[in-house]
Amino acid sequence: MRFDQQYTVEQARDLLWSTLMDVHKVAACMQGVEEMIVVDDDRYEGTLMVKMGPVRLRFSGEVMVVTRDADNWIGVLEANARDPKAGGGFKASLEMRLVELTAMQTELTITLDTTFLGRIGELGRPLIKKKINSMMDEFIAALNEQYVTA
Amino acid sequence: MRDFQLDSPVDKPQTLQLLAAADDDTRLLAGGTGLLNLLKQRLASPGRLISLHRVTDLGGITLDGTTVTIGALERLIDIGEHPLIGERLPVLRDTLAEVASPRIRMMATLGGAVAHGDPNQDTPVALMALDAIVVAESRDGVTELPIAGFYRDYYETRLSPDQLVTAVRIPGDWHSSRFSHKKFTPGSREDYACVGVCVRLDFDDRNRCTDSRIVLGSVGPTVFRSRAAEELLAGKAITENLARQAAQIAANETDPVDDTRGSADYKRRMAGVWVRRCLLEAAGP
Repeated sequence: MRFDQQYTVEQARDLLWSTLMDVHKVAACMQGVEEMIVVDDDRYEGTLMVKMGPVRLRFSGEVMVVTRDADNWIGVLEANARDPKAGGGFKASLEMRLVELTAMQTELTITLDTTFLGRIGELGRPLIKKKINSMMDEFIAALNEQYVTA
Repeated sequence: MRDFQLDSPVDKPQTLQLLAAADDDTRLLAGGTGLLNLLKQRLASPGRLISLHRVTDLGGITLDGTTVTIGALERLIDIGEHPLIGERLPVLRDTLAEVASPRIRMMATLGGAVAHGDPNQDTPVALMALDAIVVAESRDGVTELPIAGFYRDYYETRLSPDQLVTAVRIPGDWHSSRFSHKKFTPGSREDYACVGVCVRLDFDDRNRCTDSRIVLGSVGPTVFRSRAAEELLAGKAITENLARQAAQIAANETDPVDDTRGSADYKRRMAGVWVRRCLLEAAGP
């Protein structure tokens, strides 16, 4: 499953870059992050809770920063997580590209490639697919909000 | 499986009392045909279930003036077979006859079908074409919610955790309206729809469309009305060409996902095909 989306963020590019490269700040902008443990500079363990009506999926796993290309403004994260109760999980690769629009505005392009593993179920897959869209919208809104309140 | 607390109130006041203390870890269980699937797949594991199987005061199908009111715990099979529904709301009767199998319809309730918020359910598609009103109650009072704005997202509605759907109200005299509906299932008849469509058209005496509803299910996170397609029809006679244009607009508004009932692209195309056919059937002789 692939997800491509462009967003305009009301932040200067270098400031947005440092926010996106700080996993704690990213976690603070993401709904459902329940735990975040730093293993080392490029590796984190955490838990993400995804809610849709009565549906609750709690994914535990790790996030790795595989590319921090500050010269070209490209960052790549890889994640690997499972919900032991639902008996399934996902592997994801997330690429972020930042293009300066104005001094205070940056275009953020996100490419997400996800593979679902195990028995996440016919019911779970379309739900997660839809949920990613709304989670990304909320994430961008939170990024903008963080800037406004900073 | 996670342990959960099970409550079995016997009437509406007891249920509302239990719901007054409810949070989003509490779920109501009516016929169980929706929620139990989620529990069995372990996608949902609420800490508390309030079962409505002993509640006896949330039934009844009544007519007041031109408004039909259906109690939330009426089973789909009983609604479909009720003479009042056959006489006044044949489109609802015909839609219910196509919901899953008789065994499911023997268990599933109208309140459950509405409140579960599953975009693949057939019943809300017809209810939206009929401008139905969802009656929700809490201890704070009664709220009437038009079904057109009731759904927010997959399994998510405008209901708050303390609210109970007590009835569905369908006002209006639909005798002069023209309906057409189609549940398209590429696989078995009992499956969820690849796309579900219900169309309602009203005409003036010169055969121009005065009002319309074009409702689609199974092709987005919620059942929805294609208002842009409805607007295109306003004041016009329904020709083959106009139906095609409206269908294209409606298809563009869909947001389906790939699953066993087809790829997203296939579902979007089928949405266009069935909206067009329903429009022409409703407008036809």
